[in-house]
Amino acid sequence: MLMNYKRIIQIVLLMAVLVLSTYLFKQADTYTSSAAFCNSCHVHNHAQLSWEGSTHYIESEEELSCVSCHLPPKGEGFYREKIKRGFKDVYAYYFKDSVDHNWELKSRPEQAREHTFKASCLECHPKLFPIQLSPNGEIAHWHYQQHETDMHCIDCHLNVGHGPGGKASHNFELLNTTIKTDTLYLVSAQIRDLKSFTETIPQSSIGFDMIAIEKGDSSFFIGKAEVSWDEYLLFLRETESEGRSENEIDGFSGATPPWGNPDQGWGMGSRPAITMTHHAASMYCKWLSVRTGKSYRLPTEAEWEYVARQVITTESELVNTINSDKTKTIEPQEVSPDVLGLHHLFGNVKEFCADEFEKGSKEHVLKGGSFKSEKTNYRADYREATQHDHWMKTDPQIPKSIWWYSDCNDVGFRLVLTYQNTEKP
Amino acid sequence: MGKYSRREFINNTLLAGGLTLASSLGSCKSKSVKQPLDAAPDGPVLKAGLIGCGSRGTGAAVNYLDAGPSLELVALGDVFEDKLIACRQNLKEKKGIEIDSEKCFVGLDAFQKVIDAGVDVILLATPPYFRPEHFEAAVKARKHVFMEKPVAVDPVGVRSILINSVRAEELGLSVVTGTIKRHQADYLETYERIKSGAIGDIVSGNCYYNQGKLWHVNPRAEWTEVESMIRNWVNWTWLSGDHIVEQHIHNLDLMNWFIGSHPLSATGFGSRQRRTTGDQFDNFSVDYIYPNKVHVHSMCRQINGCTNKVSDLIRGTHGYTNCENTIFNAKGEMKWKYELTEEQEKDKWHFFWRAFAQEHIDWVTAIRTKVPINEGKQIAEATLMAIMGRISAYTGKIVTWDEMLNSDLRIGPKVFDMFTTGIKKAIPVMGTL
Ligand code: HEC
Ligand code: HEC
Ligand code: HEC
Repeated sequence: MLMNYKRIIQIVLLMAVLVLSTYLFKQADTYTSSAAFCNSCHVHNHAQLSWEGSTHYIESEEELSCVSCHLPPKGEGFYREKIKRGFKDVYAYYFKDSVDHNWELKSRPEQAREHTFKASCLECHPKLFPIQLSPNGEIAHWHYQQHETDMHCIDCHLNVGHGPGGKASHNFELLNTTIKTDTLYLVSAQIRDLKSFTETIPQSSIGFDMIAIEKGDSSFFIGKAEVSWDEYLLFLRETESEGRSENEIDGFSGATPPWGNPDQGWGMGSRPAITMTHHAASMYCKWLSVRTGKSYRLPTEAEWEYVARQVITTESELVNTINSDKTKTIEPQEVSPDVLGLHHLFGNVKEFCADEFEKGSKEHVLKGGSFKSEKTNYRADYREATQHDHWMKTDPQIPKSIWWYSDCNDVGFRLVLTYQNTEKP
Repeated sequence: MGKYSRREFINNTLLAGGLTLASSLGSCKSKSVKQPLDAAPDGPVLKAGLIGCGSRGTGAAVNYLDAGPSLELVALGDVFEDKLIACRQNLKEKKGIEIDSEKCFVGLDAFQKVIDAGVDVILLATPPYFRPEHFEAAVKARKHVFMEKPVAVDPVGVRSILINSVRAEELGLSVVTGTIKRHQADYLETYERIKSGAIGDIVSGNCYYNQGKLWHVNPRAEWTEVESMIRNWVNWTWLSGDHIVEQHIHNLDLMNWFIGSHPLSATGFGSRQRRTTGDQFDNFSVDYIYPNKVHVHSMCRQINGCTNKVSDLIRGTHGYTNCENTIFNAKGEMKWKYELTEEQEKDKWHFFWRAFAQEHIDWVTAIRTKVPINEGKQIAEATLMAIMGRISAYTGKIVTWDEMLNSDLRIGPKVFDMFTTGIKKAIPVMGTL
């Protein structure tokens, strides 16, 4: 890359300011702390723009700039971090191609914790319980206080710095999304033989494909794709309730509204539904069974593996069938179907099986890995366990939801239906 | 330079190695325990409002007025008019003050009217069921609060108290509660000694509130069901929390104070042998387990004709104490006793009555010197501990602190007026819940 004159000036200025100059330090500090300075050479223009659309862009507040959040408060390592970060920025700008930078990754709470400082939030928001705080906020902040050492404000307020939606809250909107009415199925599918078919949920516009799997007396059908948000939302809408007891109404007391954004802001539609608990996935199967007059369920680990063995024989065959995006789920149609016509048996999201992980354990088996997994783990025999408590860590509700994991964004599930051969003697 | 003799060296090491016991026991009055103040300092007039005009409320109001100069009581609130009238009359006789009738409020919303009546500080003395709602309203209105124990009847209420205690702290408010032992000179001095190792490390505790039946009020035809219940509140769990919460909390709080932590679990039982009114038990026996497996056995009972005992005992690796005024060594020999003046010697209840005044003196002092004290968390924890014991006894099952802290249990009607009916009146049966 050829450095032009202006850039050389900039780099010299930056170096000079950050390390050499103690003289005029105060003034330089003010300037290098301002948003204008950050953006004079920062590659993250998008960050500036999205900041301007956030609650924390207040023109009258000159003090509030990028470093208000992205550096610790003065006196708590402010200058040390600034020098460290300054160098990193200079390095990143001049020696790395900015397109390479995975900004999306930096937006995830795990990473954002590294560049957004809790102490800085507290500097301006010293009160956890301001008088006007809403009841939701009270429960949430109380929960935060109980887990102060391992929680960060942005676990719940991820969007405070960039874009709208800085206030964390229940995501009730999710349940009010309008129902498409262009197609309305009247009856569910009839199964005559062991052939792949399209299931249609009566009185809805939702349909999905089931693929036939030949296995002698225990043949079955398996979902072509992981259960999608479109499908799952129908379940939520029809059963939504504030009820929290597991055995409340005959079979399916409805899911409570989720805390936060269950789709992680990645979008819904045909993407796999995620973050539901194993219990919720099982309830979905029960509900769907009643709606379609069949007996849908989660696959057993043996069934899942049986299918998986036919799908892969060598790892290289997976290349076009798994997602290359390591930061989020994708829509199933973005990858090619595998030899059986399934999408994402491996990758995208880990899939619940009906089995306990170990005898007597409250954890269940997960198969297939997710978008986050190492390629080497896309194997038929690879098994993982749910981590119930760990995945509920930041759920501030009391009691914690039995429907949604607050801290796991790569689990979902695929349906199975036993084939009943009625022609058998 | 250092001129340590070998002998001195040995002595010093011995001391460091565990004989701190001897040093603190030996040096009688030398410890610098802060002596309680006799009266709060003067300052700008502090105007108080009283919510809950029963006898304890009236008592608290008098204690407050006696705590120092320039203290006024200007507003009263109660759900019942007769209680308010009696309280007003009492205050007139005892303290010669007349509360403006414009500032006397009756009804379920009286509390808010008192808070809004231009007062600086609030005294809360209603049955504990109402406390969380009243405390929240008072703190949000930036009032300093004195509140009677206990402070809630269920985990949801306790959580509200915890939240609003932090809020009070953030607003610089002072919150004092009616756990008098923490303001009693003899307990305070004993505590200091135990804390500095007088009985070594604490290994166990026992506490007792075994006494006769408390009062009850029979329902009357002209009262609605709710009114009858509120007038008979010490016999209804949803109003009082049951007697383990309502009374025994004094001892339970003391255990937390001396041990320096709250328990992690409770296993208890209890029953209803003789009580004929309300829905409470009349005896509880609970084993509380603290960190490091320190056990505290708690017993409380409200039945006539049995041996009465209201006391505490804490045992350490080197001895034990009654927590109040005496320390014994492991062999049972008295090692230290709080020295009484002649006047104190004559009056057995001296410290007890004194403590009621003292808590108000300490509260007003904190407000006037702008060094806030906040007892919200400790009273919330003691309340939750008592509720944990109650639930364990009602169910017959072990109950953990975490379960309690995260429980959504709320008892009593959620919203009610004086005509609400159908409040649950079942007496818990152990092993069926
Ligand atoms: C109120 C606090 C706050 C302020 C002010 C703020 N940010 Fe952020 N920033 C965050 C948080 C929280 C995240 C992580 C979540 C996200 O990406 O929105 C983040 C993420 C980022 C990221 C990585 C992810 C991405 O979207 O690129 C960059 C770069 C960034 N900020 C730059 C800036 C710049 C430049 C400014 C000033 C123009 C700024 N920030 C102002 C809180 C803040
Ligand atoms: C330099 C001071 C400053 C810093 C640093 C800061 N904030 Fe803020 N924050 C503000 C101001 C000012 C407001 C607007 C307050 C208002 O409108 O009353 C605000 C508003 C908010 C709101 C309410 C948003 C809404 O939509 O109403 C939240 C939540 C919040 N901040 C969280 C955070 C978090 C989390 C951090 C740390 C990542 C943070 N703040 C860092 C000053 C700051
Ligand atoms: C467990 C989730 C959670 C955590 C962690 C959390 N908050 Fe909040 N916060 C909330 C919720 C929920 C609200 C209420 C939003 C509403 O009313 O819509 C809220 C509200 C706020 C508000 C707005 C208050 C107002 O005026 O309404 C601020 C400011 C705020 N939080 C700051 C913080 C800061 C600073 C931290 C870190 C010290 C933090 N929060 C940690 C969930 C959380």
